Amino acid sequence: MSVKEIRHLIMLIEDNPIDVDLTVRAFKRRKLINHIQIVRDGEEAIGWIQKWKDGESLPVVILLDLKLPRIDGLDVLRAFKKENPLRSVPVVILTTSSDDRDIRAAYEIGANSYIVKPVDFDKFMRVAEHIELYWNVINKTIP
Amino acid sequence: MEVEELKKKFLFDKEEDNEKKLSRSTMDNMLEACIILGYDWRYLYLNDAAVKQCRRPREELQGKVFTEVWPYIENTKVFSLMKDCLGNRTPYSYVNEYEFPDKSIGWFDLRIQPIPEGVFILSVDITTRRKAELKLQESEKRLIHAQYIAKMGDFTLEFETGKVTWSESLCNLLRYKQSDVIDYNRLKSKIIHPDDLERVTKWLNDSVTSGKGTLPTNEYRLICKNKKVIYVRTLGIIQKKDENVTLLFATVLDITKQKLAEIEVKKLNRELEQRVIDRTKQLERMNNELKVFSYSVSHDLKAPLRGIDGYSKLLLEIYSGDLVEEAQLFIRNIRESTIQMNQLIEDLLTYSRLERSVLSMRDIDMQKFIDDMLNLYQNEIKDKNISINIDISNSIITTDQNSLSLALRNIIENAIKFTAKEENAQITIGMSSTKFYDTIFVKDNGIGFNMEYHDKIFDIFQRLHHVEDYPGTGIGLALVAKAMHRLNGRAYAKSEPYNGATFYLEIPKIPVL
Repeated sequence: MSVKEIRHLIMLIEDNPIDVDLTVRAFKRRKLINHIQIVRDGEEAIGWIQKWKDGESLPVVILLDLKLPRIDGLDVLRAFKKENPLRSVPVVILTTSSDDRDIRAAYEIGANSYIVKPVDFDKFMRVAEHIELYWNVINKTIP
Repeated sequence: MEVEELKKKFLFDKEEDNEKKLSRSTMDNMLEACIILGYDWRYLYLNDAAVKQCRRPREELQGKVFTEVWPYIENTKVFSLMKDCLGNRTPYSYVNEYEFPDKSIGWFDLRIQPIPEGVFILSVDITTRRKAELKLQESEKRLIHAQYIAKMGDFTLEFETGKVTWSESLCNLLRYKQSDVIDYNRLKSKIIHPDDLERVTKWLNDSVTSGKGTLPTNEYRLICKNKKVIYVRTLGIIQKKDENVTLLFATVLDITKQKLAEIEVKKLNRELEQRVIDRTKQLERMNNELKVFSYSVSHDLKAPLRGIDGYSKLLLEIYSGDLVEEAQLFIRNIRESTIQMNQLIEDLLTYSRLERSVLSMRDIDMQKFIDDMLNLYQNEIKDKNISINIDISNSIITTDQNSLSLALRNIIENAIKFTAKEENAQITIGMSSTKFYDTIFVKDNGIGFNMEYHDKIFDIFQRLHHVEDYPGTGIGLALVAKAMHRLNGRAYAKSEPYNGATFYLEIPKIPVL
């Protein structure tokens, strides 16, 4: 089975179009061809809960920005962590904020990881690689 | 001795001349002045006391006419009484105030009696007594005035019987008549404010039973007869009148004005406290806004920066073949600026985080602490071939590790940076202690600085060098100063241009609370 055929899904919840584009490019340049589902605000993210209930397949990992229009990232996280089996999908906070309170709040609600988006594109690509490698390859999810 | 008696005993028995002589000789020796005036107003008789009272020699009086001896006397009251006595035989008693030619004043208690020979005058010099009386009256008046001015009065209370007397000034103060004030027990509920009555009663009882001689100061409210409430302060003395009766003598001072002012001050204080609370809330709100602001700086400034960095990188990588050398340089400069701006934002965030972080004091093993810190820079130290000297004996500093770490990291980074162009770069890290301070120093043999700027370098955004020579944001030493300030310590530096610099971190031994 070639890597190409593994259609694991990554969900990226991010409002900034530049960040969306760069993240997608970073994943592409690393030849990580997982499909990326892009969600542009908190409301849309909450909307996905119903879609998953209706049978859409769950992503292997959710990358979540904190500062989102309409519904805040932490509220999205809170909503996701209430739902079963959605709560077992790892959520990686990918944000610019390195504020202690944000980090603490995110972990308290149940974030699985917290990554500060680097400004440097090289570093950003390395982050993308780590995310892909760790959550898609190394980490074992619930079968 | 009564005049009638005198008359009977000694006088005026015309038939008994010898007896008359005898009675006159009795009068001669009397201390009271005795004068007999005839119908023609001549002095028929004066005893020595009378001569003395008149303050003139006997020759000027004896046998002389009264009205001639005392000019202007005819216009006086005393003369008209004497005249009436002579003519109508009416006796009089009269206190005469007389001004002598030397302007001194004398008072004489006169008995003017008709006698067969004319008129008999018995005069007692009461000047001394009268003067004393006047003096007493004067001082009483002064006391009343003084008490009136001071808005005070006094009272005497027989504790066991309740018999009470108020001074005139106390009566004035409370608008009562002295006749209203007899029985304290009946009066108290009328004059003492109901909210203070119990307290006042207890105070009097306790003071009396304590057996001490003083009535301790107390403040309470009294109700005047016109229903006006005044605040008073009382203090006094306690004396035993006899075995069964205790006397309280006390002053009552009207302190209404002070009390009202005091109440006003308390009210103002409460308002002030409320204002402080309000202002603090406002400040807290502003502080929170500031925290949100720094969060926004972190989030909103970095996102576009990431765009600039990302796309310029992609541009260089994907289209470098299409770009001339100069265009590539431009892009590299753009990327350089991005990195610098990113650092600036990071430093600013550290600076604002430092302001809000909570100090946590703990013992720090300095030797290990510095070794760990230098590990962070081991690559740079190796690359630049810097020789490091550590001169720290086994010592423990009690302080906030985060603050110290931040300060020390920045000055070590500076030392590495400013020795970058030295052939034999050397950095010494050492420590010294006094009774009150531990001082850590970092000494380098780098480019140094002019001491003229020794204070300025700790100000935010102050740079002494071009960024292309020595990169930096101008926040590092401001962070150092701020961190030390939070520890109640200080940071300072000594240097000479091109002769190295030494930075000192002075940390108080008594930890900040």
